[in-house]
Amino acid sequence: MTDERHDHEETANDRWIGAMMHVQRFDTPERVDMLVDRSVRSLRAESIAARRRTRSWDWRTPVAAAASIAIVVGATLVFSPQPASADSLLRAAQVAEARPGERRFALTLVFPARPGETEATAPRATGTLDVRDDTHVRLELTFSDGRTMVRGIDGHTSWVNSADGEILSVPSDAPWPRFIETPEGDFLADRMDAVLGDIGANYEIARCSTSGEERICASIVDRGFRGPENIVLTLEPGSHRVQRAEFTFGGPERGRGHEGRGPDEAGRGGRAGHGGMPPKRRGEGAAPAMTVEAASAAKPTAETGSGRPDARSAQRGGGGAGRPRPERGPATLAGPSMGGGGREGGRRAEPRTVTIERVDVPGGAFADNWFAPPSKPVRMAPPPPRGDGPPPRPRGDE
Amino acid sequence: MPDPRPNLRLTGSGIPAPGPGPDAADVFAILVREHGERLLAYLRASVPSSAVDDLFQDAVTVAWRRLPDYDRTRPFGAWLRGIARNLVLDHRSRMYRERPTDDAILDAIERRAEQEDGGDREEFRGKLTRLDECVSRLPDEYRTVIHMCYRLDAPVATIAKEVGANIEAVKKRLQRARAMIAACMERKQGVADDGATGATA
Repeated sequence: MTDERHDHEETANDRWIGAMMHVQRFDTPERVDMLVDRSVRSLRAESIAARRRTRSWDWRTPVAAAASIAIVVGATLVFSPQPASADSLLRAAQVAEARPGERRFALTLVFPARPGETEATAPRATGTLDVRDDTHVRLELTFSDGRTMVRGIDGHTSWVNSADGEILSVPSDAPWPRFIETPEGDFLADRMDAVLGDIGANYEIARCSTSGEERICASIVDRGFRGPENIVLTLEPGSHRVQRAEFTFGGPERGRGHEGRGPDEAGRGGRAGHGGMPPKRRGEGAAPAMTVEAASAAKPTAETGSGRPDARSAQRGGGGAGRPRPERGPATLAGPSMGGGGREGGRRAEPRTVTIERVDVPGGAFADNWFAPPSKPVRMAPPPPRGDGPPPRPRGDE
Repeated sequence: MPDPRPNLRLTGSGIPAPGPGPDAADVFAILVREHGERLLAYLRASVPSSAVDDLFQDAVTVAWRRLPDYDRTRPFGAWLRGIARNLVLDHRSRMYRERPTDDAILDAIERRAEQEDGGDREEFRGKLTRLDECVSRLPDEYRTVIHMCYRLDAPVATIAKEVGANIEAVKKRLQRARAMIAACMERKQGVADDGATGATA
């Protein structure tokens, strides 16, 4: 490929002056930072992917990713009306999002309805995601049957509760902790600002305000991106912070949510259908999921559970019933279960929708020990089983 | 006295350490940012614009992987550019069907880039500011073609049509304009250096 510029820049001096002109025009400090961030981000992702290949601990809740996308897409849209300085403003958003700050998100996860259930009675989980910075994160979820799962990291100790109430430590090299795991699964962005650089490319964003609200609707564009299909964001007037975000995963054809399918169906390396995202790794199959419409109209198949504690699963991943399950390869397409612990057909469902709402941090700040394990971990949670076989059946199913 | 430089050797080959504070990747990113504009200038001088971003990212990736081999006594920018140069050569070999850049020109660009190794990011940005000043001081006929070429991305043929000259005349005018800009920048650099010397004397 030739460069028209180089056609008339015949000497080294010509080239250098021409290059300087272009650097001055195009390569603003913000753009340079963006390029560096992108490179370093890919290096981190590469390292993490390599680490995961050797150790398949997994924490695949869609919640953190959804939270990041909410803010990221929101920031992208907020700044998009000024195309002349979009890069600079996006960078400003990155800088803003990179700042530490205590925040709490209220979460609602709705799972595909089971046979005989309606949309309204579909299994769900509610909880909170508390974040101080990328090394202080606490996720707490309560499932329909009353069981809870908690996982946190306090800067030093990564921990999780078991179904038996024990506190287990998670290996320090477990892939969880740094704040965000993107829907890609193999790309860990531990800082929001890092995600900002790429997210805009994957969604088509439009204002869809009603009654004066600042509302944004985003539809996925890049089919290779494993994020939710649709996102609706409600922004806080003035600050433009994301106040509420609703994520819908998967298209109608993904309604089988729990059925293991291979790469041929779901796309090797392509976008995972996984209705709740978490994500398959690149090269793995996908678990389909339902949209809201499909779930209510079509035969629901995903199952979220008998409600019995799943001690063994807690042992495997430390999360207790409903805790995210380790990734297991193409046969475990549904990824982590967030919904009740039971399963049908040996697979767990994934959330069909995830709603995130920013709420006030109680008292304005989390207690110093909020992110710490409630008691000293009694042991290290064992790594999950390896292999592509079906996941062990929960005790209640045996 | 403690060594203020980041101990990249100790951490460069591994996963960024968890916990607060900069990890190896953060430190690495800071260093690359510091030299980013200069590396981009080198790449923009050496390869077509369409390849610049990819080569930049490739250079950063390769540098990270080779970080354990980095000799800390050498300037980081020169080391990074050395990696980029290999990538430029590789790119050139893949683009052999197109008009390749001569070795002599690449070598001269390399030498030109070396002159920037001594400064820092701010100094380089200062040169870009001086570049602007020098462009603004060009005689009209030269400033016009420079503006059309580098600010409006107009092809030479379009410029020729606009200014009522033939293509070769425009190319020549551009070349002279660039030479005038280079001379102007050298003068300004000399003044800046004298000022700095005077200030520290």
